[in-house]
Amino acid sequence: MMKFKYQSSPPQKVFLSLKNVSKKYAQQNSESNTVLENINIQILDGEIITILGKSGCGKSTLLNLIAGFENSFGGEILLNEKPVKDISPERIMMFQESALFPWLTAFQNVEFALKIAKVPKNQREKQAKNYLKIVGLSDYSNSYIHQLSGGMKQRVSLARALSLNPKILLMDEPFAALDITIKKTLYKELLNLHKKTRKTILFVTHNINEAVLLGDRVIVMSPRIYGIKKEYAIDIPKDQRDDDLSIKNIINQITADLYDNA
Amino acid sequence: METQIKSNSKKVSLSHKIVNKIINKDTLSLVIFIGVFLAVWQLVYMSEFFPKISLPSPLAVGQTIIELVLDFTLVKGTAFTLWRLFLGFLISLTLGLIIGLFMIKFQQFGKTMSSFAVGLQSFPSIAWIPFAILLIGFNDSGILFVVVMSCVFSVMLSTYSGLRNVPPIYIRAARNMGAKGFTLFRYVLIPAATPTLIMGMRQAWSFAWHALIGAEMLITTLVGLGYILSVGREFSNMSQIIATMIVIFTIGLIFDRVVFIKIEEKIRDRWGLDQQKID
Repeated sequence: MMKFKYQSSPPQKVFLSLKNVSKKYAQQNSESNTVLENINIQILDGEIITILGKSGCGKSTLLNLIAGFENSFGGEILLNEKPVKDISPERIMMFQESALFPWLTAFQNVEFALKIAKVPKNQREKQAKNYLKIVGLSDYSNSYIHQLSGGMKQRVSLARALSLNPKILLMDEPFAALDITIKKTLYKELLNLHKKTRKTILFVTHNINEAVLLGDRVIVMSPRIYGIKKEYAIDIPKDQRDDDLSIKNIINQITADLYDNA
Repeated sequence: METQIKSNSKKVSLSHKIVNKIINKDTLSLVIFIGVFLAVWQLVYMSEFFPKISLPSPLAVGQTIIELVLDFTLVKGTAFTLWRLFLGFLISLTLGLIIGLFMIKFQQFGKTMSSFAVGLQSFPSIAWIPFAILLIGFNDSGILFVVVMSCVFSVMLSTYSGLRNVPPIYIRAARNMGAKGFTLFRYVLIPAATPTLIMGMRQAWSFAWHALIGAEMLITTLVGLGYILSVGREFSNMSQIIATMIVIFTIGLIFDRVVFIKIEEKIRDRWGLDQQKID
């Protein structure tokens, strides 16, 4: 087994730590299928980490492991130095497709999360309203899910996730199905929300621009090696990334990395 | 000029709406349909293709309906039939839901039971009647038995498949938010399965209705719409037979259109199941 090393000297407390994480799926013909091998990631409190990779590189599997959807894996995942086990509202996942409940209104969807968390009724109504307001959907609180556009759905999902005040937000290509203009507004809103809440976010995507625009660090994964190919720290302030030249260079480098199969 | 055209078209659409409200298009076509049907019936009657005793005129049947209502034969028959229907449906619903839940809980049982239930679901309800007569006898319980056997499997199967086909992403999201056990079942699985459950209930209701009239005709208990039908046959009273058939038809229509369609529409609307995806 590889010895664990810090990728860079940690100036802050490590919040989420993955040590030698591996995952194999047992296949029917008894040949086991490796998806992840020796993944080591250190995430600091309040960071946005984007995980970039082509389909099949195991990036969603990694997110599922952190969320606790799957409990059998090799290595260790520590959140605040405690091993991650089972599903928990402190690690909330946001999916690519809307996982909102179609039998409830936007408001009721957010309230549902708080109801499960046993927040008293009058308090949770106030909170649900507040979170819908934060994502700019106050006017749509009584709409059923099918009446909302794709972007609005993901905003409600975000409101629902944030209302539970999770320690870490896991985002599995949440904007992949949206068109580019809506994506851009949502990037801005997500970054604004992050500024306010300083939530730690792990964001999985196959979109290079998205990864570079949002991440404090971009982790590039490759299916060939079942793991991390390279890691980029991006020091440019997020509100300047849209038209920064060096961003273009980073994008080019990452593109080269992603499509270089060696 | 343009504004004039616009306001004109607005007026037209407004008056259109008012007309629509008074004479609903559906209602209108229904009235015409019934009118044509009665006219054809009257013509066949007048052509004397069938002897008058075998095919009475619409007017005679109308008179019979009024007579049978006034002497309470139809009122009493309808009341008893509906009571049996309600009771049988309630028993089937309870049993079907409970067994359906067991099928979800115990997978192997569910697998076996579901193929068994598919076979029994398409089993002709009338074929249960001799069995019911010998097992239970000529009484209300015998009729209820046939009704329950004819529709409990639809409830069972729709509970089973409705719950099994809940999109995993809903369950995942709910569990992620901390829902488990009964909370997950009550607030996620049940509402997510509701469209399938309602469809199953509607089918079960119609099976129960078929079975009930058949059972009432053959398991004689001296009361009920099916019994009035069989009495009509014994006395060769075609007027009474047609009058009862009309009542049976109307009850079926009312339940399907008013009760089930309304519930289904409400759910479909809320879920957006009728919407075509444009974006």
